[in-house]
Amino acid sequence: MEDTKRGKADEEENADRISNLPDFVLSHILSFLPIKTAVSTSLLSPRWRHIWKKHLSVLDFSDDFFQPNDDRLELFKTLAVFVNGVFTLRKPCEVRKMRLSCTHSLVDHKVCTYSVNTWVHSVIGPHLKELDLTLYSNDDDDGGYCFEPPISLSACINIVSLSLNGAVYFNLKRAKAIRLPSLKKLQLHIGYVEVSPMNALLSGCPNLETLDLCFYAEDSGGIIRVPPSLKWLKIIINNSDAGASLEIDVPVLEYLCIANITITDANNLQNVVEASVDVFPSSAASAFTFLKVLSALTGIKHLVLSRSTTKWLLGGPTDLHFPEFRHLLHLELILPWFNSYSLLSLLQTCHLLQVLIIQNDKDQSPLPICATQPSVPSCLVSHLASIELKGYRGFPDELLFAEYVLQKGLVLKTMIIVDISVDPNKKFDTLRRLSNVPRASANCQLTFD
Amino acid sequence: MAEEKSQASSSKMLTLKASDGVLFEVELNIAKEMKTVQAYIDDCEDIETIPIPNVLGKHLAIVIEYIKKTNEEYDAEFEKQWNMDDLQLLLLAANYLNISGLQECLCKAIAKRIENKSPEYVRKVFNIENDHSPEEEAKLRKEYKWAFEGVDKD
Repeated sequence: MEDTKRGKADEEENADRISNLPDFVLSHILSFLPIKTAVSTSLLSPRWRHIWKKHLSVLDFSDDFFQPNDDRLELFKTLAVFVNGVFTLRKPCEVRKMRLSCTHSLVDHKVCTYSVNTWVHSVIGPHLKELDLTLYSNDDDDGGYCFEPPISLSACINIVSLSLNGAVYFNLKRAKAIRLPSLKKLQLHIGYVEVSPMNALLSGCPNLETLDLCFYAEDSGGIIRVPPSLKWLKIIINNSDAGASLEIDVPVLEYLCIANITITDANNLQNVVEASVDVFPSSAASAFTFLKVLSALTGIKHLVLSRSTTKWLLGGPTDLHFPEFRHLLHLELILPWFNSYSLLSLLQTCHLLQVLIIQNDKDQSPLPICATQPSVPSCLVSHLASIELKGYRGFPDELLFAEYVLQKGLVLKTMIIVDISVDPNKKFDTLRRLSNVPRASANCQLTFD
Repeated sequence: MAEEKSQASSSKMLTLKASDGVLFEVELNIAKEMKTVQAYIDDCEDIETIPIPNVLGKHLAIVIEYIKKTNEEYDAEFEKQWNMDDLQLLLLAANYLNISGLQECLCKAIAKRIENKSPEYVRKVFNIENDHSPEEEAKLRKEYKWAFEGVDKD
């Protein structure tokens, strides 16, 4: 605060205004603070001594609060003393949000198990709106801390957001019994889980809108079924050989992100506006089904395809299966190889494309270079404003493609070439050659890094 | 204040008089966002000038602007413009006028500025007089030892 010497005005400038606010406004301010700051306000002045205890409806605990300790159990005990202190001293008030994060302190000891279970039980109830548990064990294999969500979770009839991460285990019987009718957002970033308990849990959340799954699939051939109410879906399976698959009928889905999972049946994908796909169908039959699914994304505007997907899609010039996406504006591809013919054929199908980002993942194309095209892709003439080439390797084909785009891109504003791995001389030559290409678009800027 | 174009829903204008005498003409639907003012209107339909004795003209102007423009983007930038003194006075105004959205925005803003800070810093920022005696303070620190033990320094 400034030091002023203006008499009465001075007094007003330096007054303690905050204490004029009613208690509940002060505790509302404290509810946005990390708990350790909130608790420390008890030292400010006698007025503040008990404020943090009232209306404490948001609890956020983490073992990151404390200095690191190699002895995990000791660190947990320090956390436990803090958490228990808060729980016992706070004035009774329904907890609306709780977050508990233990990433360096959990071990397979009853102190950990009983404490975490008790803390979770004490907040479960109809007032709980958000629960976020991040519980990482010291041991990834059997024998290590593990948290089992209790059936009493169903008492949280108003819970809107649930996030469980780390060493969390679901068995089928419990998963079947858990019902969360108000749940809109579910995040599970966990270890190994079987598909049946996963499906049982998902069927207990009929109003789910956002689902973020990341796990290791225990059984191959399992089919995951998601609620039809979903607007946002992300499923990443960490073990690529799991052979897990997904069945979806999601009429209101707008965002889709999948990795290492095949889609066996999909309906109503026409409202998906943004998608990111990283799958590799293992057989011709599953490839055919997958192509049907990709084609069903008729409303897609923003699409990201990863290496495994594109490897299969861009198999060869005559095998091009890239569906026509009438509304596609933004396309990102991670390519297994660079082939300008395949790329240009692909561009033929995206008439409204505005942004194209290509990442070249190392190899020269196994296919012969074939630079002639029947006609210029219409998006080049009317819509493509930005193109980015990542991972330039200096192949002749890459250069031809860049030149072609510069020559034909009537509305091109920027061409960015980055992650260039060629020797400096060749790099300079390439830059010079590209700079001298007559550009179709007068305000096109070339960035070569 | 320049007169705003009246909205289709309501053409009735109301005058708010700040503590330093500054007058503001606002549309009825803007004024209604201030529940305290709404209470005035409920009690007395024909009222045209409402006194706001606890709020200075400069802060009332900010409050009215907030009500007109509030949205996610505006709220995110809003709090950055004010110093701690203004934030507190605005919160007192929002509290008196009973505007829940603005109160929420300001509580978050104030919390952000004292996050992870020590009690000494917070006292300075709010001008809170520490009327604990040294013995009381020592006793408190001991009582709350568990809250400070092993906690990372600011």
